[in-house]
Amino acid sequence: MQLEVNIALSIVLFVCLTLLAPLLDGIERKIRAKLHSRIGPPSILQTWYDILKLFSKELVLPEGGLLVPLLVGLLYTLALVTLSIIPYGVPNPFTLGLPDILLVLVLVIALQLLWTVSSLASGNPYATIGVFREAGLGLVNEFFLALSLIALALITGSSSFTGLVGFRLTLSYILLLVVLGIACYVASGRIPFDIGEAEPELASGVLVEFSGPVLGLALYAHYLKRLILYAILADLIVLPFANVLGLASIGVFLLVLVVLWIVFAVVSVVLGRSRIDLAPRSLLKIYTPLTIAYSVLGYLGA
Amino acid sequence: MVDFEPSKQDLEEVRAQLTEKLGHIARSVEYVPGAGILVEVPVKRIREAVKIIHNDLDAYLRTVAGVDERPVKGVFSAYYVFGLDSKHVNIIVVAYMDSDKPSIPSVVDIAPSADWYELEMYDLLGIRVEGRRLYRFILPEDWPEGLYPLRKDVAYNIRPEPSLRSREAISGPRIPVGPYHPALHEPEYFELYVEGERVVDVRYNGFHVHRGIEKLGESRFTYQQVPFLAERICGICGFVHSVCYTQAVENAARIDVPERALYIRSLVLEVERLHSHLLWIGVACHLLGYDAGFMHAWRIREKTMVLAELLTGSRKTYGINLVGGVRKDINRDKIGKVLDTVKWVEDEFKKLVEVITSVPQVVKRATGTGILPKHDARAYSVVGPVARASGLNRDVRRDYPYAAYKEVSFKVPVYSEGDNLARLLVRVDEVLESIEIIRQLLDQLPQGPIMAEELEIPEGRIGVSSVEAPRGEDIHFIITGKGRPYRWRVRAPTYQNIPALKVMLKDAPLADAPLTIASIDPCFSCTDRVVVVDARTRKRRIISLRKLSKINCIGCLI
Amino acid sequence: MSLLKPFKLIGIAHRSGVVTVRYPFQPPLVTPEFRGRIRIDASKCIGCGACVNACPSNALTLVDDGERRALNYFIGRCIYCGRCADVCPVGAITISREFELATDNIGDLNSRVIHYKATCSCCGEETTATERMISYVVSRVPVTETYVHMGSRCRKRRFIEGLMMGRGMIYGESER
Repeated sequence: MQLEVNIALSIVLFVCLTLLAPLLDGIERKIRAKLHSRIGPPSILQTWYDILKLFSKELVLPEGGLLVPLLVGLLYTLALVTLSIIPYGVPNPFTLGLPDILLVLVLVIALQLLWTVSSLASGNPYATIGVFREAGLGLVNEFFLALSLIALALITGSSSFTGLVGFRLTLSYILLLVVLGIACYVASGRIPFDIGEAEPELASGVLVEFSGPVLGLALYAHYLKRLILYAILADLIVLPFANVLGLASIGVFLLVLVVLWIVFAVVSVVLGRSRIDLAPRSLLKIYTPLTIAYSVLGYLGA
Repeated sequence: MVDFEPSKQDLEEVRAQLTEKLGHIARSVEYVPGAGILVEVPVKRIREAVKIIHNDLDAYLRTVAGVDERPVKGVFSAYYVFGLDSKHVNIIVVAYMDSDKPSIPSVVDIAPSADWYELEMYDLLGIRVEGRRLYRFILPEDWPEGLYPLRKDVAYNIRPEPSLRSREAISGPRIPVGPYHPALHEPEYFELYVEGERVVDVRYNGFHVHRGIEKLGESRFTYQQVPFLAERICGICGFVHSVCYTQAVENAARIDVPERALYIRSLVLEVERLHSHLLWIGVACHLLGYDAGFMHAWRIREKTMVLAELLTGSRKTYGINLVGGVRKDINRDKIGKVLDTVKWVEDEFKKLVEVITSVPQVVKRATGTGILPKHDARAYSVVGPVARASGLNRDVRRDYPYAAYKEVSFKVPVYSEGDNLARLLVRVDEVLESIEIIRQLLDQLPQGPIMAEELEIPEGRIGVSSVEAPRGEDIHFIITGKGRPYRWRVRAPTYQNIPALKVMLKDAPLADAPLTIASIDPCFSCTDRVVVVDARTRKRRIISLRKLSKINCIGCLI
Repeated sequence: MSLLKPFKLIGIAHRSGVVTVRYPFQPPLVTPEFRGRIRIDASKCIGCGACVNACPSNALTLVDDGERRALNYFIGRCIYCGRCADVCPVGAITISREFELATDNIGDLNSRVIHYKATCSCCGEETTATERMISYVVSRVPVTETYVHMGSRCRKRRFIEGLMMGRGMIYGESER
């Protein structure tokens, strides 16, 4: 509680992160190109250019009519709201003392849901299949995501991220971090778990009916969602040291966030796409022992 | 040097065997150099003849060519070409049919691979095949009845008025899977019948892009122009077709092709195999979502493309082949460049394969999926890597040597698993074998001319030639005519392999379908080569939402 | 360790560097052997049509119009096989390395050589040969006969007449 965070600083950070999300994707594209031995896009601003270009296109309504852009708009707004309440390496004054771990959990799951629902609204069969795939995977992944975040609250004894500041690292906490790391990776729709939008199989599945500004907004929301998921991870890594680092933890947080994004990007390049029946199974195989391990350790207080 | 001839002893043996077993049926048994042993049987007894050759002699059906020979012999005829691998000889069964109402008994129950050939004979030549269901197979739905494009009295440039037929609107959600689909890089349409997660039956609806190539070759082109047309049958293994065509003509006319030309043909064929296999490996990676493997396989492939350009003047559709030889010679400078490139390709490829086969998703999704058991592979007469991955030791380069292949030694990789991984590994091994072959060819390259001096092509001769394409054996059947082939029958490898997909996909999980279909390295343009088509039909796969939720991953349907 | 094996890709990518090029912004990479569009040297072309006979795709066509004959090259049909260059008797056709042929003006895809047909030295009508073809034949085979300057109809007539006037026995002229 000794950290006094300026509201103005938070606003600045919020705006920066909002602008950073597509930029990080631009960096990722350059790195992916490098790993493919390609030149890739001309600069890391390419994702921004893409989004701006999409916004300049006419609005073509898919079969679902106005419902689709409205849902996508809602998705984007929700992503902004979620981004505004997560801590940026230091406790965030916007949470107003609410139990923000649970709040963030609810918002993230809502984001995932809205993401699938907005593509379902178009009624496109490819999108429908994509949604079914995402739902099948989400069933496993989001369950463990929720479970781990609740366990986090239990282990740290606080339902707020503020409670993490100065928390002494335990083995169970680290295991929990691993599970959350995987869960965030999967939730961010990366290979091998991007089966919902598999281009060669589903014609981009969930994205298929989006075009122009709607697609731009949906993509932007998607990058924001990635940013939020990785920011949560970065927070869990940085916050325990926030009392030592002071305001420098903001810098560390940003660094960890970027590094996480890049590491995840590299991992997704060297792997292939899984199959709808294989993916949940292999996830269960990873999650179950880890979850049991951190639960037991957490119960024992280790 | 004339093309490969089977040994006298083998020939006599087969001939004796044929005379003994078919003596009571056959009207004549004679050896036609450059084609095979020609057996003429009465049309009513074709089933007996096919049964004896296919089952007792263990030969496999390579191709069937229906011919309108009314202008010369006053009959329709059907040539069934069988391959007897162990003796390196073709057995050609020919039956002549009445010119007014041609009909022939079906042999599809004896040799399942005859299915498409019979449908094609019916569709394009109007030969009724008795004892089986006949339906419109290649021609579009609105093609006029009774107009058979491969008959000699039908002009090659005829264009029937397209008639647009409206279809009943289908209610409920629709899932179009082909003819156009982002994952299918060529027009094709598969109908998979599913129960829950399992595929129970498959129907292929192809031939959306017929270009009437056979008809064109028989009516508008000249002997020396057809190689360029043949090369355009396929954009990936085009050289295979032009070699196969020129060899068929050379076989029929007994043209002496200079040895150096044969070596150059072999060399370019192997370069083409390199690029084709690398292409396939890349595409397979892409289908598995492993784009890094795709990019790097194509990075290596690019060098082989440049090599092809250096050797022939073009990255693809090389255009260096003519009846009687080749047009472009190679010099010492180029030989050095070839050796450097293949060395580089070999090193890089080995490294890449090690990485690709370590990616868990690639291995998991390829192992044990799309299995084609050996006996089914035999029944469907599958060819190429598909056959070799199912334990059939069959390679035209060794079994019916052509070009310069009898001068080099190489291994034929055979795997017995019959799954997608086996097909991947066969291709990986073949890339390395090809590199070895290229080295041997360059090492032994003889001096001399590259074009035959005498080019006389008598009329009415039969020529059969086969080439091991990257996808399997390609076989061309030719009857020579005046200034151009009288009949030019092309049978591309995919034609033989697609029917076997039925077996590979049956009872398999739906999600494996895309990779399995890709695993035969399908080349639809090879398959679709017969008729001019203007109107395109659009088909849709219908699936109810309820079923969809049950299946859960129809997207894999392709 | 096998789990980490896929990461070997990073090493491969690092060693191979960047292999793609900024193509439209740099000169195309084609080997010296590359076959692009053909160029017809109008000063050499004699309009014999050997290339037209060899052309598999009808990219080269001859168009006759009374006294003129045009050899037309349409890139839209060309398959860049270079057979025309092989068969050209005067070496008028060369294969270039140009391949960036897209255009928004279809006129750019056509190029032609116009030839004038020789007139018959006898009746003054156009013959089937171009003037250049005749001078080519004359330069290669110095013929003293005048046949070469005649159209086919006059040539036949002169042949018959020559026979009739020549030595030897004539069986007689049939009545008209």
